[in-house]
Amino acid sequence: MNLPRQSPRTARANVLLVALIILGLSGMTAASTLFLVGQLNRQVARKQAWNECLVVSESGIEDGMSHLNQVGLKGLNSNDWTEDNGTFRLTRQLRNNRYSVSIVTNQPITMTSTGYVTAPYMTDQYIERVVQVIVTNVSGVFYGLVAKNQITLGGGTLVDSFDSTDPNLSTGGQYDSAKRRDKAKVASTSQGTDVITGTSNGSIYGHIGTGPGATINIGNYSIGSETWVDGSNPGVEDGYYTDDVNLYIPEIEEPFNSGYLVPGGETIDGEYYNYVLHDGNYQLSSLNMQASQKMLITGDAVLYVTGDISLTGSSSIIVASGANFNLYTSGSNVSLAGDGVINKTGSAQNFSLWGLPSTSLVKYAGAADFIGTIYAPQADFAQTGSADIYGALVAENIKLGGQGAMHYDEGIDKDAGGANYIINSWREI
Amino acid sequence: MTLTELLFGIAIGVFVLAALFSFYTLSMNGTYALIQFYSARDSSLNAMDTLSKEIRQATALQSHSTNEIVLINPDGDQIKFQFDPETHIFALDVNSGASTIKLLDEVESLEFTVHQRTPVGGSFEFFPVAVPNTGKLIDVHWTQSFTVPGTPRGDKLLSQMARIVMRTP
Repeated sequence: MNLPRQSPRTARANVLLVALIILGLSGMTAASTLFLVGQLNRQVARKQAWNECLVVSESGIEDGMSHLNQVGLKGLNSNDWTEDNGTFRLTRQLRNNRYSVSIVTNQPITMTSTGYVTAPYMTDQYIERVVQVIVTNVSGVFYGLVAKNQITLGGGTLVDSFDSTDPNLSTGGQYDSAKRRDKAKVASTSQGTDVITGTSNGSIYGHIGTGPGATINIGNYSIGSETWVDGSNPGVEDGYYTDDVNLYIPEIEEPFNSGYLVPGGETIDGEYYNYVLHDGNYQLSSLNMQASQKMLITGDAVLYVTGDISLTGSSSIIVASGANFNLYTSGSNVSLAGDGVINKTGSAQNFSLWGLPSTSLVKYAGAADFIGTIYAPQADFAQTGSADIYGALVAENIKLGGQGAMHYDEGIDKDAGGANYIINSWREI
Repeated sequence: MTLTELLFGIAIGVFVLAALFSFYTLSMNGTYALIQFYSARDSSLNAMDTLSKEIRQATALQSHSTNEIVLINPDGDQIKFQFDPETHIFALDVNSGASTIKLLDEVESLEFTVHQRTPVGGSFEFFPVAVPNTGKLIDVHWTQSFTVPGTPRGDKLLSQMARIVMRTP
């Protein structure tokens, strides 16, 4: 059978048509695939920019925290920051990105940072993310009782807290048992066994903490909130013991090595004092006070004792009203017995004992209540006698063996100006 | 044109059409798989965004297990992220059912691991938690399947993992 033959010209046209259809389909497929890949690329770029924006925004918070901790609330209008009706602002460019951060100093202190990142494939549009934090002022290195190793509590020890800077939480800046708080912290960074031990009945109004995996042996101690402890509940209230203590406890360095005075005796108001310290820096090779010898501090004084310190008999160190005394020592032994340290300011912020790394033992057995702070991170601290402690302690090991109580002053360092601000709450808005 | 020539031409035409159809089907399947991948990836990234934001701003970790974490947000709301291995759904629940949002479906596996913020000395690891309120660092890892024609369920998996730090001390 013969069929009518198409002309060669028509056949060539059919081939061309089929080829064009194939090419068209292939092109459409390739175009749609490229379009989808392009969309994926845009999606990835936008996600990267979105995540980058959070980093930029948090950079603003870091900048604000650094500024606040460096200059404190009173110096915020500095370092390129500007004030606008009580709000302090800064905008900083980071290559193509930027952040604007503001600090509102009304309580609670609020810091808000907006990060701007250039939107992908755009030149004049930005992705924005806003982070807001609430900042609080906390004590720098003092939390209550802090040890790098063991804490031993005995003799029915009472540990609680008050705030000398808040009239609602103290009376005239002094501890008042009617206004006590449950904010004391008894903490050890150790991860060992029986890191905190309580050898008999006792009370801790607040939290205890250890390093991860450590164990405690607190006997019949009652530890927790005011309600828990006042209700004579034995043991630790839920949530008042954690094993996540993670503190940096820096070593103390020499306060100075030149330009100091040597303290001498003086008669003041008809009474002779073996050492009198006014405003200034003083240094002694050792301090041994016996019988009724006395040291009087009348101004803002720093005394650096390069040897041991010993108070016996009825000797005493007297911090006069309005005075401020920082006692540094690099001696291995510090023994404060006799009448002890009589801090007439009544404020723990006005007397501090700083132990350099060579200080290995600090004992307090003075007759007077100890009002102050002790920071000797390489030393064993031991308290005997019946004097109470008002302030805070940091040591290698802490042993409270006397009849006295420990009242942690939450107000320590609060007004020190800077270096103590931390983020209390973080949210993205 | 002879009958032989016609039949031969038809055979070539059928072959060409079959090739075109095969090419079309392959392209469609590829495009469909790509769309499925984009869709799964997009929902996975959005879920991670929601999860990481809530963890970052949480004020406390109330409880946790392998399949779920319960957080308290700055407004005091209880925020629960929960994976149901039977329904393969990963969801966000606010205040015990007051509001529930499905974040992901087709989730094949999901695991939360909670750590303290305390580092293990000499390593980049962190101590595990003994009680929830010390949990500050949350690891999450999930795999999500997406459909590709001609492959069994679970054959193609999309994986996401992150380590997120609660910002509140």
